[in-house]
Amino acid sequence: MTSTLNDQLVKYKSILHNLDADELDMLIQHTKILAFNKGDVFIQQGSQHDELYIIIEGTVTVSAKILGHGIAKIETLGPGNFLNEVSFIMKAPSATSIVAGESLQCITITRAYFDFLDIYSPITKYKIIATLSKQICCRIRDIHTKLVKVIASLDMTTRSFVVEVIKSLNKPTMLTFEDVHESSNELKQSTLFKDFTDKEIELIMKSSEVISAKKNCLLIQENEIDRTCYIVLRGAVQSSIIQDSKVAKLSVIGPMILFCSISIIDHAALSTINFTTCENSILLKLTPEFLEQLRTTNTELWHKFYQLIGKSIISLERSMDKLDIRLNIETYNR
Amino acid sequence: MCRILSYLGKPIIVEELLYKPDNSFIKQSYHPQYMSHLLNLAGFGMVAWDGVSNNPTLPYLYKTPQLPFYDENLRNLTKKIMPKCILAHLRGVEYSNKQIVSMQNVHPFVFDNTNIALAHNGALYEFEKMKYDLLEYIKPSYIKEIKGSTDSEWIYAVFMSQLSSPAGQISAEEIAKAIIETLKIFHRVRKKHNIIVNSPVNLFITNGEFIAATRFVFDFGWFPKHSISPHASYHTLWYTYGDSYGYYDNEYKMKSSTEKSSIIISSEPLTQDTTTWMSVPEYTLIIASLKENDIIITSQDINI
Repeated sequence: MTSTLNDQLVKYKSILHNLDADELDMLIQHTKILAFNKGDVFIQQGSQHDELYIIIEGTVTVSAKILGHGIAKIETLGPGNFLNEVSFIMKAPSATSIVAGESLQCITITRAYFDFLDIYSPITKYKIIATLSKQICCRIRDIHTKLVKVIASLDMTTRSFVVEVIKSLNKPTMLTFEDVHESSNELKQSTLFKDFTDKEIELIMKSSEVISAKKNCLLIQENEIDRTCYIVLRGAVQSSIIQDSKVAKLSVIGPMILFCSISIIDHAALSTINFTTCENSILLKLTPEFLEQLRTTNTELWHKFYQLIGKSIISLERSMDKLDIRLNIETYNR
Repeated sequence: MCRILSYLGKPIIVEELLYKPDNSFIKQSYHPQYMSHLLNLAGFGMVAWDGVSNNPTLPYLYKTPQLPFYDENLRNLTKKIMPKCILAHLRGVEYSNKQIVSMQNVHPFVFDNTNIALAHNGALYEFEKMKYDLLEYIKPSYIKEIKGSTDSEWIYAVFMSQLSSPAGQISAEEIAKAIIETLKIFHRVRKKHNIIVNSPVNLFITNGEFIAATRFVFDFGWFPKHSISPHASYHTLWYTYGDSYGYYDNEYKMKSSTEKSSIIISSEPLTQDTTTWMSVPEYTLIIASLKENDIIITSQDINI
């Protein structure tokens, strides 16, 4: 191995600790380390970029044009941080601009290579997403801490005692797949499972519970460890942050969308978000036991499934960022 | 299905909103970005309040069931008028010979002796079943004003009936209360007829001094059996605010300012670049009111 390759290997290994030597070797062959000049705006807010970056040296400044606030500096990030991850995974325009600091070097993963990993090395892709997801969980916890403080300081309306009682009494009931025949067929054909084989979808469905939950049924509670995954079949679920009985809504999760708390990524982490049905709903419930079994006995399927989890966590981060802006510009629920 | 644009603030040449940006309102009739499976070809309507016009509290009203992008009169008009408040609507209906495309069905609706206008984006599933149960919630003077066949005009009549003095000054609180009461009435009537199918009700209401808009769906996530509904996804609602809207720094946008002098609330952003636009969350009522040249934005959750 040449000294340059050796240097590269050390740099990659320092960021992606969970990749083995062969996986790192392959990554080095198919990705590039790009160096940027100080002041280069290599991610422009509002445009879509098909590259995922990981900082290995130097720093970047993240900024954004925020409605009513002009251009605001959001944070400075250093080695180990992923960049452009929301835009890359969600295939959406970037919500921020990124400016290179002194002697910036980044590993650059192209979409073509990321897609290629699905076929040639799903485990490498899984490990990259796992590292990224853990980082996003940390960011979610940070934004949550900030939002909770803001909500506590605002004179927002509080949830009534009656609603609290209804929510505590409202429990889901079990259904069978025969009861929801049409929804199950839709699930098989949905884009959610587009990368799954029929056999894999059958296995997931066979191992899941179908539940019916009336409106205002709390499915995942803030400040608890809950590693359950849900897929909405009918109806909708609202994610929210509650502080001192003041509710700040995040987003609505409709049919054929998966959601879960950050506990599923970081096993010791408490859920930061409440997930409550906002319509009468039918859901597929994937228990922590089943997911653990999948992880240990059917790694191929687990790697695919983990991509859905990663996407849902990124969506959560995006909706929390949006709430952060709204709380600053609107007189919300006051 | 249907696109709506509303504006409140500094007087603006209407052409800047309707024709100039890269996702201009008129372009949304034949090339909507956020609901591309159905075009909005069943009519265009606009109400506009101009502070220097004759009787400025009443709006100017322009409606046509024709395709707006072929309308030369509209284009010429928009180059000249500079209102402080606009509510424009593009009607989109299913491609079916059962649909009635006529002037009477073009939004916004404004009854006689009032200056409150309403435009609706969405459709109430099985509205025909509900219609006559709504009569008890509509003041008799408004019943005879219903001229078209849309569910939207009935929503307008129910809403107007919830206001104590529709011609006078109305506070944001009263508007919010009337909107929520209107939605509750429809919820009750739907329940009576056991209607449990996704029905979006994105309403835009204005009197030239405020804009109220809802992003709301009854029974979201419940679809008719064996059919794909054009209303399956949650209808979008966006806003942007700032000093004034126009061509600044080589792009159409709101000129950035700490003052909120102008606001646009619309079904979709007027530009491909959505950087300075904010998406309104689902189940939300947003109200923008003009107070001494400053726009106050309030929002609240809709819990029916």
